[in-house]
Amino acid sequence: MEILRTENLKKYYEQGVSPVKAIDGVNISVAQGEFVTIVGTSGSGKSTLLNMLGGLDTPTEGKVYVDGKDIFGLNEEERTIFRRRKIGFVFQAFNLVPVLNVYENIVLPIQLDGNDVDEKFVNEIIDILGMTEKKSSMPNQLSGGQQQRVAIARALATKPSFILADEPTGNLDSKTSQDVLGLLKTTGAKFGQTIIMITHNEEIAQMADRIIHIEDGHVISKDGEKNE
Amino acid sequence: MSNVKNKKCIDNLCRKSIFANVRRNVILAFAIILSTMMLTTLFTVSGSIIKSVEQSTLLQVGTSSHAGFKFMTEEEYEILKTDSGIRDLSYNVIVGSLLNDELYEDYTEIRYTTDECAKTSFSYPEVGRLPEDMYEIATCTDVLDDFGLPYELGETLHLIIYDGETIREFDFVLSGYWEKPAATLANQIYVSKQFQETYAPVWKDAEDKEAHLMNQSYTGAINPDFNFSSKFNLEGQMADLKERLGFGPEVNDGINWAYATAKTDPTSVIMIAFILMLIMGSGYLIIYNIFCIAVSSDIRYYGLLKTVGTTNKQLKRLIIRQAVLLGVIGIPVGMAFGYLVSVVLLPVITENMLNVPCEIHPSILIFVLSALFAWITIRISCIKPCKVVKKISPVEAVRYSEYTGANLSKKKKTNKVTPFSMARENLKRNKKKSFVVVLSLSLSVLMINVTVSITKSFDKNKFVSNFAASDFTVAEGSLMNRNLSNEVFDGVSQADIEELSSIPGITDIGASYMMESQQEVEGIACERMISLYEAHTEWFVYDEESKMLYDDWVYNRHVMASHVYGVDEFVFDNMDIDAGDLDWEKFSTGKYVIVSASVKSSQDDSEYAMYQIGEKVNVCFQDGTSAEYEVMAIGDLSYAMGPQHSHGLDIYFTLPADEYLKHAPSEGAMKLFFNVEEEAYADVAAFVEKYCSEINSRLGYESRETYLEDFEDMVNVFLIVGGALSLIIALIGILNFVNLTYTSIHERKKELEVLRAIGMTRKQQKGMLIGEGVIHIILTFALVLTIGMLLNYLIVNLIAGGMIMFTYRFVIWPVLACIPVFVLVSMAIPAAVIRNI
Repeated sequence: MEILRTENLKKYYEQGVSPVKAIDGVNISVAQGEFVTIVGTSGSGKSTLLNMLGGLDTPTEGKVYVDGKDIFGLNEEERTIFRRRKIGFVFQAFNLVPVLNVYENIVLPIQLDGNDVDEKFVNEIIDILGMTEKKSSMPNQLSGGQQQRVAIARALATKPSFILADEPTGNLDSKTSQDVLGLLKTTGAKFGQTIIMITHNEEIAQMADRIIHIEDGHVISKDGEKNE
Repeated sequence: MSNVKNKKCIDNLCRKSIFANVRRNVILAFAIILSTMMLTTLFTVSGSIIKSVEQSTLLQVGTSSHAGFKFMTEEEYEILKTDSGIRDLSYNVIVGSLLNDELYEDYTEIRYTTDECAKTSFSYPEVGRLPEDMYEIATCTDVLDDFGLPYELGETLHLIIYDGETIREFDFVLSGYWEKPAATLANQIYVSKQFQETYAPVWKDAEDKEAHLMNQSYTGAINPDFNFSSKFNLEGQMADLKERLGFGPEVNDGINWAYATAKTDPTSVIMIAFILMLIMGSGYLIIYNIFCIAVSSDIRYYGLLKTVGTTNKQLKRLIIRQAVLLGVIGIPVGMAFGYLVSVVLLPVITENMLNVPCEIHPSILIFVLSALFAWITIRISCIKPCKVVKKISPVEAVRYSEYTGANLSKKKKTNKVTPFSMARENLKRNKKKSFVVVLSLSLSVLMINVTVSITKSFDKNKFVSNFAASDFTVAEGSLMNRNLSNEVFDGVSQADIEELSSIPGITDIGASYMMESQQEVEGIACERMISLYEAHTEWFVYDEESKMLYDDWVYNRHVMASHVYGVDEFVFDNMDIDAGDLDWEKFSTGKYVIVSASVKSSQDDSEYAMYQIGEKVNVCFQDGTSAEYEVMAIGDLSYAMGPQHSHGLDIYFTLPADEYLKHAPSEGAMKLFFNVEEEAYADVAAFVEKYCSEINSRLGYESRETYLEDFEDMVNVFLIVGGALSLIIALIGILNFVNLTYTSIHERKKELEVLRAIGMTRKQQKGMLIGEGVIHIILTFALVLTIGMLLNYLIVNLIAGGMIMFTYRFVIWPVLACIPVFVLVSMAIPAAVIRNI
């Protein structure tokens, strides 16, 4: 089942005489349960693409469908609500809310939605991620790896359509990176979660089921040709 | 290390830094202007009032000299002349007292004066000169008006002079005149040296003085005036002078109480210090808070500069230069506004509160002080980010944020997460700043409540009743005008009473009568008198002379100075009673007397009464007769209904009017009191005015209306000044709140974006931020409604507790009225800020 699809997605920035084409006609599709990485160098447009996939940035042209719904057909408020129910985010800088403890951070999107927390489910995630002892701890007491695990748990807790991970190991050492990536993949597989991960690291990209290369705002094939 | 030529670079950086953060620097400049303005206004207004009151009081006192002696002999004066610690020595000599009818209601002194003394007494001729020939005089235009004479030199005045023994009459020629300042109480007539030496030779020595005083004559007394080296602590300087000259208590000294620093009154000092601290504290709160609130972004910016090689020293120079630039703009503007506000505010205060004309007296010192304070605060505030940057590495500085939550607790109990619960937790990130904002908001609400509390605690009836016990009071002129030398206690004749009683519209009327006498005190009363005198000698004795007098009265002669009053029922019903019950029916039989305690305070003084309830007392009258009465109660005429003077260790007896008149030297009443119907008030006022000015011009009158107007005026001043102060402090509080809100939202911009990314809608974020604002307000009012109410009581009592019309009233509605306003502001500001992010 198709979870995510883009149609001729473009993002142009007006700068000087000619516009900067950050994303220039991208068409991708992600099926449910897939672990996809989007790889590109700095300035390739991968972050811009990720922002549009998550509904955080408006495209100049083109559409993004999540579970068959055109997310840019919604207004901002509707899109935010849609996002908290359908998309889980894992950021490079962890981005936990400093005034909430671990458990509160994890269930935050659920409680913002006004729903009851599936405690059994959440505790299972916490357990798998090895954070049971730290449920009452504040983010300032956690290491980088621990914070990223909490971020992963937060992304999983709402049972989203897919998880968007933007360079999730960018701020971690190599060993911790391995652990975190392993957990991401494991929990994804366990809960049948679709994961789309952005990275510049080809080695990390290899752990995915499918790799999408992006260069100068275009998706390119393995042999370097643009995929229309 | 060689000097690097980078001044231009730093200057450029400084200029560009200011424009890079225009919003913050505009607010900062505004804060500097506001606090400098407040200080300048405070110093200018109070300085001007002090100066003007000093000037006016000098005119009232009658001299600008620091101090002087009274009733000196020539022997004493010669000793004084030799002292090197005094300057500008001058003197005048009393020539006698004036008996002219024309001057009866316009107190006038007749003296010889030196040139210098005339000048310092504001009575030097503006036209003509001081008298030189035997029968020349110089005087003020008020005296010429009294005699109906034009202001022309050469005019003749016929004066009747009494020197204590003989009454003499002379015709004098006017040699000079001046316009007496309105605030000066007494008129002066100056005679020539020749005249003085002939008819009022100076007292040679102590024996000569004694002889004159036996006749109660001050003719020939020398009154020197002089200055010390400074006008501070005049009392202390006078004490030193007397010690140097070997002068004891027999030499009467006088300090010019017009000089504010003559003697410091602790209560006034506390009040002034309190207001000063309030203003300075508020000013400090604005400036410091604004600097501190922006410290994160400053540190990041300075960290950035450090990464490219700026040294700490260069950074400090940059920071200070920015502060100087802001100060150079803000401080003069603040001073200018402060001066303008003073010009507007001063007349408002002085017209309604002080009976003296006040002018603006700008002073360089005031401007310097205001500027200095503002500059010190700026300096202290802007150095903080610099100190932080000095301690951490450039990279850490670039990433610096006070909102990381690094200072939060390690663990937290899990609660349901809502926008409001997140708001509550967010406040913990920077408790210090939140506290400062809450404090400044609380201060403003407290100020408003204090202002209203003070005005509501002013009891109109208490104020008026202290001066007027009835709608109208009629008495002989000397009892209305404190400047007349001889008070007349029987000036309202029975004919006056009959005439005034017949005015239509009068609802109540009554008179009080008075004679002065001397009471022989025997038996247990004598024991009580001796006991009181010995226990509290310092209450009655103030110098050697008074001690001798009291010792003689108490131990040898067993007498006390007394007043005997006669009262009608209207006055009887208004008496101040310490103990006992009043019964007019019994009292009017003429068998009872009301006796005063010999001490008057606001509490029950009956323990100090020489005669207690139920005891018999033989009241001694002025004509030498006496009669026995039983003591019905211990009390006295109310202040407004009495003569408004007392002697010291004395006693007052009150009898019914009929009984009093049996022993009185005359039938004249001291004062006549009456109330009128409201509709008839205007007509009665017109009648009384006409009666006292045309029919019997020796009478004067006071009305309750006048005091009511004075009361309203005074309340208005407190409202205006207190209101202005409250408004300024409220402005400061709100400014701090705005700044804190903006900065905290701005600092968390990224965090807010992340929250939006994980699904927090704008509406929910708005709710969270508004919640933070509302929590500040809740904390503010929690503080005000607890500690604030106690402070309210203390501050109100500190400022107004000593006033006669003050009765503390608990007032809370201003605080409650502020709640919706502050809540509205706390909601509107975050909503407005987040709209732009």
